[in-house]
Amino acid sequence: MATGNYGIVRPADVSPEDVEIVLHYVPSRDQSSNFTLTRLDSLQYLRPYFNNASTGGSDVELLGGLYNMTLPADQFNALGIYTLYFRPAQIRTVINDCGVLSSSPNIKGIIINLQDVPSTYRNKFINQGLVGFRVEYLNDDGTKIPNFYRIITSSFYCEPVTQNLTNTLQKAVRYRYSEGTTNLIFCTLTPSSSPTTRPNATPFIGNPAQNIIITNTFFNPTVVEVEIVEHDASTLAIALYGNQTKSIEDGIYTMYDSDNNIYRQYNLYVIRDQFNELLYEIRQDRINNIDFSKNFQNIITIQ
Amino acid sequence: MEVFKIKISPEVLRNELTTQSYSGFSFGYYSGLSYVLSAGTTNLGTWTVGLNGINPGIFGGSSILAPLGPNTENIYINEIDSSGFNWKSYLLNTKIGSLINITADSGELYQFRIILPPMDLGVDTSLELPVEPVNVTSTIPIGISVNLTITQPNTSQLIDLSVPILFKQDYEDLGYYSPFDGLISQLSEEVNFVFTANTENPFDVLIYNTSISGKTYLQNSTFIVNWGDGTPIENVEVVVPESLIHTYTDIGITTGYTITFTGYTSIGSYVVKKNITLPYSLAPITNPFGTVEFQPGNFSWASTPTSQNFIATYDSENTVADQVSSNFVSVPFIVSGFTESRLEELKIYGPNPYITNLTINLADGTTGIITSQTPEYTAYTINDQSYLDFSAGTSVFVAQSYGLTENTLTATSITKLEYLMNVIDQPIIQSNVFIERGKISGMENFRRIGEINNTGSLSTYGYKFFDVRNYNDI
Repeated sequence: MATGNYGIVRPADVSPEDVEIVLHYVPSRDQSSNFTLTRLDSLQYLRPYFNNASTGGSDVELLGGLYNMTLPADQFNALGIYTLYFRPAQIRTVINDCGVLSSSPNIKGIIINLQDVPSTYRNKFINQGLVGFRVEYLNDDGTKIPNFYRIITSSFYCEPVTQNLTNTLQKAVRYRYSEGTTNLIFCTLTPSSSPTTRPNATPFIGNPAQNIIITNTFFNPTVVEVEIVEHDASTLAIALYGNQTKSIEDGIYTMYDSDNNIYRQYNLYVIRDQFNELLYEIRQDRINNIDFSKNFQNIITIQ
Repeated sequence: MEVFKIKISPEVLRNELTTQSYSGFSFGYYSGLSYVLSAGTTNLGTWTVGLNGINPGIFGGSSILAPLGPNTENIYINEIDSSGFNWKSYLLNTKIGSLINITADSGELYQFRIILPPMDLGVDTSLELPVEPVNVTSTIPIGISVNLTITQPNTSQLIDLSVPILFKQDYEDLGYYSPFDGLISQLSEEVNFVFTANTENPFDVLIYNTSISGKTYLQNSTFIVNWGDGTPIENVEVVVPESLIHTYTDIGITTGYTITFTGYTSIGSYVVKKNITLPYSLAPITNPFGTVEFQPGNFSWASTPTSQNFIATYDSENTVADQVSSNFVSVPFIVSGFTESRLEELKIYGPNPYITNLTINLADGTTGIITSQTPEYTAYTINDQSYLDFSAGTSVFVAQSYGLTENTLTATSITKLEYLMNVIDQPIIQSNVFIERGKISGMENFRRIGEINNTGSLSTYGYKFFDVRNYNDI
């Protein structure tokens, strides 16, 4: 008899539909209270990579693990820190009923009506389609019960039946698994049975009419922090290593990028006192007032 | 949780940054994110509002701005002395929808939207901008100083960036899954009901009083139901398995009702509400295969599929008929590979040990036959599996497989038993002790010579216990 558990960390090949992207933005790190939270459409911005001839596998085979996240310009358009929070998509629904397996009364489950499930996610509510999903519970006032969840171990279509039992003191069977598609799904959960050390303790799996959040476990939630900065090492290198010109006549000092586009332009001048003593040497950013006659190609072709 | 940090500056946009040219100069320069964002905005500098010349309009290059207001339909611009900047050339290329922003020192904003293409008046450097005021309710006061900018629509040079990210999944499982019969009963509830309906009679709703009735202290409980459609409250005097039916009125549109079920018991009264939507219909399942569409991309993305199915039916349709291999491959199919020669098992005593087409009964109850002998190979069949021994000393087997068949699959419902946590297998008995009654005792060594009837079996039988050597090799 083998004992123990088993498992592995694997690259996820989750559908973008099952990913929820929450975007957190703060202009700077010292404004943590001034944040904005918004949600991005994962179907629009998240795309998995596929194999190609170099990576092996066909070009319709998911590479697995690696995804490309588009940072839409309408959101990522200001300096600051953008925290992308990727979490499993949440399916919000309600428990229709609770039941137990008649053959194993210590195994309970919850019954979910597909009519109460957002239509986008109904395709998960098929036989065994919810295995591994996590169930979290909400209180009546809408608060979430923290640090509490159950895992779905099986899900099958079921239907209510009227089945007579010979022992009238025994509860009748109310549901049975259905071969065909119905509106009801019976989900067994873990843990749902009593621990051996406390046989009278019954784990909570939910109540009828209780709101729940069902999330997939197809990938681990993760966070990517994207900091949009005014300059990075590459742009700073333009100032260090890029072409530059200084116009002696008007003192305009121009920096060019690697394509010889005008990158920055400054006025260079000095300030002297009434005795013509040099007080300051000034370098002043011309900002928008660019003198385009200082085009690099024009200048170097003068001679 | 790992956190991946990325720093991005607009420099990565360099290759994508488009430039506008006018007067022979490149206009769309950039130097940092601020410039990228403001690429579509041109600052026309500071102006003074005054009555100078024809109204309405802007005259004198960078000096005088006419007092524009809610009724302004045209703005005239003369670029003479406009700091040497060729505004005319630039403004002639402004797009319809561009906004002329006039900001007073007080912060008040006057906006005018260009509604027709700018017109060159052909007089000196003047041009006309047909505009409409945008929420302008008053005329710009004379004498104040204002700042003028023009913002062209959709000219921000900022584009979507993208970063690669990694998703991984920790998969862990523990516990023991055990078969069960799949029958389900209701959890203990003092007051509860279930309802059902079908699509054939979509306005008939049956409710079953599933409240516990067997308990002594609940024997005198009474139940009522409010169907939620305005019909009188009804007493529920039946308990499961009997049901109570209610026919709702077809009012022509899909309507939701709340069934309120109340139980009065010796320990209190309870109310259970459940919502139904009539006419009853099965919930439509859209996108059953979880298909996700991807926008076709350019360059390296061009070969990426445009869609991918993310929901597999392998578990959901888990009947035996759905899992047999004949659904997926043509059967039988050839399975072949290298193996050890079993020709010795077909060897018989006598001067000619290998005889073609002679069926030989083997120790395990199967039969074997040599089908062909040539200088290059010997072909034989044991238990319907074909073998080929080549002269070079290699042997291959060739068999026809049907994969998984109905005979090899058994459909059984399983569930996880919590009390067997950390147990993943059924108990099994492992033993290497064999007792053949009447032949050897359990105390003797492992020698089942009685089952061996040829030399091939002698060499391969019994975990290599017998050291059989070929006479020709000695």
